[in-house]
Amino acid sequence: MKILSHPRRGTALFRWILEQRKDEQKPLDENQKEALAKLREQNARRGTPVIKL
Amino acid sequence: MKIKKRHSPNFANKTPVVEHQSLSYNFVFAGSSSNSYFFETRHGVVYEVKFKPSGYIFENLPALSENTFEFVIEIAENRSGNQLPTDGLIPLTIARIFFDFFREKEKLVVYICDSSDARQAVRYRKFSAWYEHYQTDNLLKIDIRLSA
Repeated sequence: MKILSHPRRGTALFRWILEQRKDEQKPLDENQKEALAKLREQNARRGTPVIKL
Repeated sequence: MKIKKRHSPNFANKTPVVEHQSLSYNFVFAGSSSNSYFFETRHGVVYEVKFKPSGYIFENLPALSENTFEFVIEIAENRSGNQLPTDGLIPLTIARIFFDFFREKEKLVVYICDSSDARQAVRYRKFSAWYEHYQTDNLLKIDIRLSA
């Protein structure tokens, strides 16, 4: 069985998970900027960001 | 920490009826490394909903680790100022994004109730309420409490 490189439980595991998640606040990349621009264009064309299904 | 799992392979055909009767926000899938979705509210707040690959959680279980994602909701832009207005369209929008992401194949989604601002209980209650409201037979939620 493979040996885990992280703690198995408890406080140590919790701290380890927090450590893995530290890369959160990254700036938007080009794909994301492009998608956001596309969304705004769609909403502007329709005159609202709201859709009815 | 909560884990959601899709069981049925035909999940795409099982979206809740309520989705088809209500208003929500238009959204786009931006992809990238964190599987980002974006939507903008009528108050000018842009939300980014991410499904970050999180195989590290099940690193000794390859079958699970490659389909494990952390569910993250972030504010990408807020043109309305610091105060976020109450917005009844957000829950259904996020539910639709969630179902959209689950369409392709069986996945595990891990939602961590961030405790850095001591609001983890609020996040837990909100997530649980959304789960109860939008759940189908194809979702299973498992709650795990981690103490530091």
